[in-house]
Amino acid sequence: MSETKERSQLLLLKNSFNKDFKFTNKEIAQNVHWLRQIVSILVGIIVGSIPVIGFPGFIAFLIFTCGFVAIYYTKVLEIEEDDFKWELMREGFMSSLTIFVISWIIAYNSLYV
Amino acid sequence: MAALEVLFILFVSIASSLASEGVSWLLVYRTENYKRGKANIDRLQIQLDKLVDQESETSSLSKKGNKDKKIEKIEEQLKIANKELSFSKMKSMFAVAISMIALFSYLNRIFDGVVVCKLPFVPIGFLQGISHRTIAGDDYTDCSMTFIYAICSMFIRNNIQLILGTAPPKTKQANPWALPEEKKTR
Repeated sequence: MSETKERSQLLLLKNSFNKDFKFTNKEIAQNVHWLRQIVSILVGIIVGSIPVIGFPGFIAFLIFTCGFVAIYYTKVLEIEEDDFKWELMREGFMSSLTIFVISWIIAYNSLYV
Repeated sequence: MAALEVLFILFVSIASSLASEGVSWLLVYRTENYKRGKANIDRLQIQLDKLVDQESETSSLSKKGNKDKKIEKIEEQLKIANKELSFSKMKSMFAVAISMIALFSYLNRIFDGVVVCKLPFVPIGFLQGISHRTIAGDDYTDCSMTFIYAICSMFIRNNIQLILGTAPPKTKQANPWALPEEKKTR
């Protein structure tokens, strides 16, 4: 049984919303990781620009990123395994939290300090 | 401009991470030993996934018992292979540690006592110690280089490793909300 060659992460990301594209579990996890980073940066910039100050910023982060992941795996990927759902929800969480904070700080300081 | 200082720290951190991954590649990732270990893990993982898929399809009890043993055996092999690979990676940890310490010292000298940026939140408890390090005054939204550096390090290293494909194999953590698996009848 020959191993299938790993597909480019960029290719996977480009097709992340393509319902006809077949993904392995590992590839799905990778896509969720990167999509989450992107969403976190966007939320960070928006929150920093408004600006949201203090704890509500973190609440916004949780709502938007977890909400996005949940919608993505139920509506786009139609995943039904509970264990895998939980795995995807955790995927890239710490990275996205820190990238959110940096985006928030940079946006806030660019506009208000 | 405060944002520029944050961006400077960010880019220096990225450059440093790339450099340390480069060193790690030289020391560890390109060696035949490591490549074999990684290929082994990938192969075992594929076998395991296949068996698990088959198990969910098959409802027969007798076949199930047999498959369970195979699954346990492969999981054991995976554990051993992962351990061996982790040992190889210890060398790369030194490279990372050295580059992080060197970079931190350098940035520390440049930004000693400098308010790098204003935080849009007041850090809680122990984080104040980090974010307010070497800064005078009691306005805790003032932020030192240390905090920015720590945050940058967290996402930069993870993401670079994912891009380069050098991320360590993940250990599965239990789903805290999952119903406990029914004990298998034999």
